[in-house]
Amino acid sequence: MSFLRRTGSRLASTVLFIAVLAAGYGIATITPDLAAEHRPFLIGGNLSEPIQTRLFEVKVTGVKFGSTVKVAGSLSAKPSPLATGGVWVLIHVKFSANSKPTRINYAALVSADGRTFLATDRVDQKIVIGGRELQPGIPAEGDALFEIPKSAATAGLVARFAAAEKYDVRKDAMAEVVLVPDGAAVFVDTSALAYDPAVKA
Amino acid sequence: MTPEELMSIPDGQHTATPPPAPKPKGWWRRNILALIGLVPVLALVIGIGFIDPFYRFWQAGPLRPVSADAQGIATIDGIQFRLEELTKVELKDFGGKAILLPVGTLAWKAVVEIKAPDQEKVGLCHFFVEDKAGKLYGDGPDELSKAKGATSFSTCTSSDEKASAAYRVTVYFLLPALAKPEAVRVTWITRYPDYIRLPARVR
Repeated sequence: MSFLRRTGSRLASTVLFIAVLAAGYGIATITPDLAAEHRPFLIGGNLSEPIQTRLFEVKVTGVKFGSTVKVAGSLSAKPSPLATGGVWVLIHVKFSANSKPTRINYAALVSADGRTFLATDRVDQKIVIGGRELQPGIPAEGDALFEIPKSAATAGLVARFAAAEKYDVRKDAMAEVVLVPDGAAVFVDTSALAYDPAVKA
Repeated sequence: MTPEELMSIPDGQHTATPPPAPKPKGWWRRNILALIGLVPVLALVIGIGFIDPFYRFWQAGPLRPVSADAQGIATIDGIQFRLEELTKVELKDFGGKAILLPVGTLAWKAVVEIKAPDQEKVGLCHFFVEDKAGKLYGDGPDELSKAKGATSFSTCTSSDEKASAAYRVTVYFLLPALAKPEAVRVTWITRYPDYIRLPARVR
């Protein structure tokens, strides 16, 4: 009897231990991971609509697609256009800080299939990637340039902007602007796009 | 052994009865050490959960003002700050031409007197103008980059290496014309969450 009781007790402990491990694994599997918990809060909008986030307001006023880009203000007298094996996406954007000096440290395009493309570093970007410190109530506008594969230049393409204070986009607002609405076609200009790195107030 | 035989055994020679089996320990007594050990483990788990938010949100920004006294002097780590003036200003470029500002904005100049026995302790700081709505404007904005005297590189040290312990630092700001300045702030990343707040007497 005593042997049976001891064996039963050990068996129950083992079953309980396995059940606790299984419950832990189940909880870890079905609940969001740390990256999902810390994800930025997306605030969506469309072209020409002002989108208000915690630190800034953004309005994308234009988007163009092209196979080459001419950069204004280049030191070379006749700058050769920048070519790409993919597609250049030129966005004209206007930012305004809400309550304190703010930089737009994060600018990216996200394709319909979820791929993320940061603003290109092949040209000087002065309005995004931390280039310009925006003062509250004093808007600034300019061009932002992205280089993406042809397969990403489809309906569902969006642009995302965040202040990324201390280069951290976690748990903060991020503006998301629909560049190519569902069902719309993308027209890729064969003539060179004109990119102007200057920021205008 | 019959009762008669038992009776015949002399006193003191009876066989001793076995002692009763010890009472089994209760659950609490069996697990007390593990329970005590659980307390620091739980504290550690909760503590780790607080470390990230603490550094990200509390020490990550200027949240606690060090205010000025009746003489307008605010002191931090033995360094004294006093706002000498905060005025609207017309800025010129290095050629003497007036700087063209964005429509609806005004340039402001702040002069801050600093008494720092050791300039290494003041080092790189940032200046802000705070308006009545609580909005902050940074010093040396890009819009003033062509203005003579304005620089985006802010510092609380004197430009004159041989300066005495008391000296003045001049910084420039760009504000919307409708903004009403209320105070000047001085911050250091290394002193977060503390910052200096100097109330303005706008001229």
